[in-house]
Amino acid sequence: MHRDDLMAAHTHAPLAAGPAGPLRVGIGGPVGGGKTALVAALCRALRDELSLAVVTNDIYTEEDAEFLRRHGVLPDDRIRAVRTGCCPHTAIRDDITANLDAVEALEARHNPDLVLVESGGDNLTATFSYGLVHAQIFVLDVAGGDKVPRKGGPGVTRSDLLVINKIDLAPLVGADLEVMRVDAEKVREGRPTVLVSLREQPDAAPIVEWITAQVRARRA
Amino acid sequence: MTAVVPGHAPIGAGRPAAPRDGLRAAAALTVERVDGRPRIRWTHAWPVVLRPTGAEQVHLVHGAGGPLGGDVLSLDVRIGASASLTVRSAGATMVQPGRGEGPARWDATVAVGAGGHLDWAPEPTVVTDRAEFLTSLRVTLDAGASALVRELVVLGRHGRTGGAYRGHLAVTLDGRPLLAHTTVLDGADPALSGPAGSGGARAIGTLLTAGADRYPVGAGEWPGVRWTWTALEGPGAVLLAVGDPGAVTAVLDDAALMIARSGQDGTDLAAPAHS
Repeated sequence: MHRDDLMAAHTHAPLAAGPAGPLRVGIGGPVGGGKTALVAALCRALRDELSLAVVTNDIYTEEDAEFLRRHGVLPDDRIRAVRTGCCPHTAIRDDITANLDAVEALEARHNPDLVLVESGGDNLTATFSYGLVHAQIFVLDVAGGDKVPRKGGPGVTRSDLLVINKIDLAPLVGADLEVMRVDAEKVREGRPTVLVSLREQPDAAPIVEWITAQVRARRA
Repeated sequence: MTAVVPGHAPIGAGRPAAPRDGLRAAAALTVERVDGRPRIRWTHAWPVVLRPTGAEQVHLVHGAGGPLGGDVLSLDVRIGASASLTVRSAGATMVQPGRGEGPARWDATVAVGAGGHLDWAPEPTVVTDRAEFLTSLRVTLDAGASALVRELVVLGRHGRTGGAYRGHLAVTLDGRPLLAHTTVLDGADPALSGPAGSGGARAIGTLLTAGADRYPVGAGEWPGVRWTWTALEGPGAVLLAVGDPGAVTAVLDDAALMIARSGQDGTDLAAPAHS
């Protein structure tokens, strides 16, 4: 077959939203840190002012997508689940095609301003490919121990925003928040860090503020 | 007949380690300006998977692990007159030995039409221990076209020595050769990894600016990395940086930023000596 005939099968025209398109933000971090809780909080806080869509990743299930649907944070058809079948970071960092399919389907259908891509729970090295997202948030929790920021790893050191969640548990698990804050500052070389308890502060105000600024910057 | 219980035996147990046939795949991509708007057309050739991620941007995705020994993979890119294309990759390329015959091969050709631009900067290539990688990038620029090419090769994973690498970068501009550069590395070869070779460094970074009126000059040293710019016999220059992966990345980032800024204000960089 001629080269040009073959290529007729795949033609990419710029998105209707213009070359910029929606802002895509990845949310990663270890299991149980509060990624899904953060996605739910962001949806509740932003859904009235922005058009939103969410992609979740789980290994075998659609647990996280079902959680978000059950809590009615967005209409069902604005939430898509990717079943990675493998180590979650493979699907967000290496072979990103399943996630791109999900994101592009949501973009075609809803023309959103913001797409949140939630990773499956993984380890401190899990980061998103910048072919999939424009910015990424890494979520840790205090109960994992106050030495975690010091351990570094690309998730902790390179994410565009580090969220240290469940600060209300610090006295119960013997974690020193000041140690976490100082260590994070040291390894992140000026990148921002937020300490929060999403349970006590369900509006996730500091993270909403950061993400709103990102959306604004992308539109500008 | 023996029942196979998934997950019961280690993967590959009981199977003879016969040579495996390598993967062969050739993908192609064209970007053109149609009525002033960019149009990208492409063919997938698994495992060389292409995903447009912007109006004039595409990400390369490895649809399989590797490349492994014996794989022969290629990509042919054509950028039309006045069009531009940014090429990135989703993740790092991990070259592994596999059981195939011979080295893993990855060859890319890019033809850029008059006034077009190529921005080629995939994630790093890691050549793991015992792997062999033969790779080439051949860029043909028509008059008035330009290119920025960034490559980073890392010998082995953290704390390892790494395998063998031979990478060729060739650029012609308006029919005249501008650069023909071959990098030969082998972490397991005492000569190639010694003082006359990579000098014990794990990472080698390359940044080429071609068809550019102005470019950086000079050489320098930061903790963990040494680098030098070489002016080419024509409009362009190439930066080579050798050292630790993180430090080499920082040098490439810094140089790329300097070039990007000069495009905006045109004051940072030296004028080429031959003009």
